[in-house]
Amino acid sequence: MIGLVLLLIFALMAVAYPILIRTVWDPNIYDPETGIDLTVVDKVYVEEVTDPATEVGRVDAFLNDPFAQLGDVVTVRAPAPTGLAHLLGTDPWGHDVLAMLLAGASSAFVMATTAALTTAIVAITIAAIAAFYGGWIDTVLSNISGALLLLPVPLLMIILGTSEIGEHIGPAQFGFIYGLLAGAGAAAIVVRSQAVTTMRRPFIDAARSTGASSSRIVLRHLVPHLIPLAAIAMLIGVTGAIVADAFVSFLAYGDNRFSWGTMLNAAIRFPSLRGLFDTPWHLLIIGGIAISLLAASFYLVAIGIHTAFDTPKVKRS
Amino acid sequence: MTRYLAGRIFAGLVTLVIFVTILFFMAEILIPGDYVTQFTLGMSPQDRAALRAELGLDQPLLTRYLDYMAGLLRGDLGETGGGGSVIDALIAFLPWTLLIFVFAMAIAFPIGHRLGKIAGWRDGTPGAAGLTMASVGLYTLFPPLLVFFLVVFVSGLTDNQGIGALRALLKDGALSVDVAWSMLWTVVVIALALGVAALGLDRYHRTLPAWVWALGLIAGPVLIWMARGMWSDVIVILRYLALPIIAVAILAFGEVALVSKSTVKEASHEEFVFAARAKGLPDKDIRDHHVARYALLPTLSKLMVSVPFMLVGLMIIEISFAWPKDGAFGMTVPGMSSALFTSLENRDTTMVLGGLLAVGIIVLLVRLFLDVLQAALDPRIRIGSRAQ
Repeated sequence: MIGLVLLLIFALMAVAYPILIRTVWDPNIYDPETGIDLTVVDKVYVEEVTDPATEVGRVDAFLNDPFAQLGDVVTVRAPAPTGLAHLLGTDPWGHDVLAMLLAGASSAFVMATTAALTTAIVAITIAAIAAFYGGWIDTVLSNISGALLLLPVPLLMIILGTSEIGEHIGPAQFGFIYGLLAGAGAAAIVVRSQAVTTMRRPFIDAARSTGASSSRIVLRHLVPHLIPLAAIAMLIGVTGAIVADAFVSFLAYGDNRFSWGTMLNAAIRFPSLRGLFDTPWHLLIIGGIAISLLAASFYLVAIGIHTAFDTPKVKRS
Repeated sequence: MTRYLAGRIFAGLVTLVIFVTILFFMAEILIPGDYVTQFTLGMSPQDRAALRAELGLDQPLLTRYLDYMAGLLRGDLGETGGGGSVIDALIAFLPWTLLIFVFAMAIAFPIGHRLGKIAGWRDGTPGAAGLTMASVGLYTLFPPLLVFFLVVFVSGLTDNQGIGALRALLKDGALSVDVAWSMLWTVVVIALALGVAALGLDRYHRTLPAWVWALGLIAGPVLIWMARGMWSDVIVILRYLALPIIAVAILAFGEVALVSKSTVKEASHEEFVFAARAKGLPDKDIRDHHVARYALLPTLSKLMVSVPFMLVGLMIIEISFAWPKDGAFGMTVPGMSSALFTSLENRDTTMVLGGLLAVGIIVLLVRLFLDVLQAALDPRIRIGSRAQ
């Protein structure tokens, strides 16, 4: 239940960003990469700051003007404060955090949905073919699935994302490739065993004896029985895709689109100049929680489907 | 049992061959260019061609594939671009990753399994729901975020000089990889010995008490390390690896708890639980001696499927500790991920292949081990395989 609600919220967020940026939000301020909202104040660079309104210390002077000498007047950029205009505040460079959150949602959501659907479709196709034809086709397909199971798909996607190919694949392609590999591997094994037991059940023989065609048996009788299990497999698989995708953009590889990983990258890179505790915490935590919650919502929906279809043999008193 | 084992090993080898085939062709597609294009900017075309011929990169793809497979049969994984053999590189890098994994699981599994057991047994209560939510939260936690928190808040408290120091010690020769390997072997051998003892006792319907496990797993390695005079090295290694171990343990904990919870919950609907209840056994006894014992095998087999994913989480954590290179942490764990990603940057396809192959073999070995364990514990699996 919670999972569905969360998923719905993320879907809304993904839709909201393009609408908001076209209607209400000024792209000069709210675009997550180019839009900034800053106030500019001239301050004097001094050794010891006594009056923060007119003076500035070493680190801040360096951040705003790397060539500043003691006693110079430095133009200090102050990001706009949290308020009605910026509900979640701004980061140290003046980007709006809420806009970043929403902009990241659309790419993550597109990626996750593509990955989920591809996983399910590939898994069901392979499982249905293997169970329906049986024999050597089944042997070949299950051996390939077993071999793919040895290969952690998220690791492969990280390698792919950080290689040169990664610069040319968008979120949809990323999800598609993930889905192909995950669907042919782990998901196919789970769904195939279900398909094999379904093929042995009497209603398949009944359909055969009434003269139903192969395609009718597969599509109308076999596949509907595989959908719940495939749904669970795909939703659990998606969590890995989300983490892999976020990690690639966290390392600043990939196709340079804006995403939640980029937010974390910016947040963690920032304090290398000032010391660890000076991290823009809201940026870090909001980005990180968004990634976790999206993954968690898929996982929770999977658990929900599992309990809905899995009726216990004996009810505990 | 021997027949079953032989069958499993044969099936594993077949899977491995298919795995290497898929991997080999995938690496060709994934890694554009080769080691020579990456490193020989100033070279003349003739020299480049000569270097390619020396490394065997000028051969057609199929020939290289057959060469690689033939080498694999002889236990030769080829040479890295730098000149050393891939096996040597793996021996230098693997133990750190495996140490982190083994120690993290040794922390995460007992705690996660215990808590998951309670949550599954009391499912529906607020406490169980809270525990489930916490586990889901940990399971889906973005690893770099966790690493950042650990570095900021824990590393300051423990006066950690950074894992990078470990690498420097290795370079100086103050510390050798052999120590890491023998640490690993000690733990694995003692765990196996305890497992065999537990299985032996099971024949006489006795269980090895939890405190024997705990004592054996903690005191056993410590005594052996002290006796072999490597105690000070062990302390140094553990101090530097503490943070990655904690990080991986936190991530793995969520997964273990979730899996235990679902298997215990499923097992609590079985009929034998009814029978035990009808006998008038106390609730705690049913949970610990009937349900949890029954649920242990499905828990292990479900976790086995997640082992590759846990290894990915581990590698992500290793990379996160080393990131950003110029910045805050820069703690390079001298493990698999740094080997894999450095060789990826160098377009060193053989080394990448070797690294991924090592991951595959680890997964395969874990799977084989659990298959055997299951067959030893569950006669239905042994007999079922014979009947086929």
